[in-house]
Amino acid sequence: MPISSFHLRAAAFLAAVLALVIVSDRLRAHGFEGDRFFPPTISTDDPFATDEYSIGVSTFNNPVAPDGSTPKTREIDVSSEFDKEIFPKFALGVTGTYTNLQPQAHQGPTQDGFDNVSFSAKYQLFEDPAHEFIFSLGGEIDVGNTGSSKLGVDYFSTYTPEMYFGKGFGDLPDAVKYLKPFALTGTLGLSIPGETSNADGSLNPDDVEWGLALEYSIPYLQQHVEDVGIPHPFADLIPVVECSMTSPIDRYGGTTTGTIDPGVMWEGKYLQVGAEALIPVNKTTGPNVGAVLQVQIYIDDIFPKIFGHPVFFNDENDDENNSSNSNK
Amino acid sequence: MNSMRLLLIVILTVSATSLGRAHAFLDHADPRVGSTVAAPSQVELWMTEDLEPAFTRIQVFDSQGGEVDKKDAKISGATMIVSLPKLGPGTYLVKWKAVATDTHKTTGTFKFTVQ
Repeated sequence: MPISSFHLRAAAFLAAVLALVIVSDRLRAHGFEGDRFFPPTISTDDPFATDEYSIGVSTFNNPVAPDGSTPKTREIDVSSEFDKEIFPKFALGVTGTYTNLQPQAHQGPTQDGFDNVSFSAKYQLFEDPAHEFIFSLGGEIDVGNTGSSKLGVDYFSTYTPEMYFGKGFGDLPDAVKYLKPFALTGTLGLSIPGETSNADGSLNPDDVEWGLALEYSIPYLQQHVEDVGIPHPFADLIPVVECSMTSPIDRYGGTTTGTIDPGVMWEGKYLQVGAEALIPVNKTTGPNVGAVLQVQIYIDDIFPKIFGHPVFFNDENDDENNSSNSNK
Repeated sequence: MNSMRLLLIVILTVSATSLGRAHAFLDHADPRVGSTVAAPSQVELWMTEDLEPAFTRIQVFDSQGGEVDKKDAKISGATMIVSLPKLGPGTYLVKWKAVATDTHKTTGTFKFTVQ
């Protein structure tokens, strides 16, 4: 497939962002609980309310709609998320996604445009650094009719209250010390559409949105359990398996859809780079395996006077208990 | 997949230039993390970033939670060292707190065993 202007624009934007990172001589953010650094995961949201900026590119083949209204379509998304800690342990975020839809087998023209804008909020409700545990509450609002009409975006808003957790297994007994680098994060939310039905009579179900991420941190193994002599850059790798699922619960919403996403994240000085395969769990989700690349940029190190601390009630001693945000 | 290949090349090219961390993480230690050794005379940590001596610390504790180091920590560049008395057999816990020169703070622990 030739490289289209869309692809070039996306690549140029990504390169510009990365170049900005390179010229900076400081960097890094994110969540710590005890010895555990929880990397920002790719397909599921992490439980930390921190200053973050990420950009991701994913490609996936969508199946033919059950009613035949849309053909099999290749979808490429360039998404960007920005989060800012407003109060200690409370952050607001905004996500935008530029989507390219390519109907397969010449069944229609390619469509480009922005998807609906999404706003989010998150609060770190409970933390236990000794047991590498965190529990957070939050939610998202997908604002209707803010995207491109060419993409057929929802004209109504969707509200998703969510809970998030993270648990590292560094508190396991030494007898099973090689299991200590494992960590599990997860999300559970209820997606509630603002309209229960559409003009054509089709229904919009409530969905349970749930996801898990199981990771094995090589840095944790070498820094806190046993230095087994793995050299860089392999010592900076965090293999991960994520799943991201949607389960309709009413209005004839159909079966659960989602993907299982094995991949790896690499922790560098200025950014995190992650890649995952997107394996559909059933035919309803999609006919083929997709892929996603994500770059996580630690903006609080680029602009330390602006980011890396809450806007209000900044507590310089907040990390004395070795928990939460690292950049105070 | 041309677009994905192009982006992958861009990302990997950029990433290859960044092999450290702005936060001070443990690069390696002597005694090594999780190792079993003869009684060492000191613990030395090599971090990934230069440290701010005034706010950086290293301590060593025995299995009962008692501090056993000589409380004479020396911080220089990206290393921190603390002396030890003659240690008996057992497992010891090293606790460190690192403040990088750009003020980023990190903490960590690891164990080593004396034969």
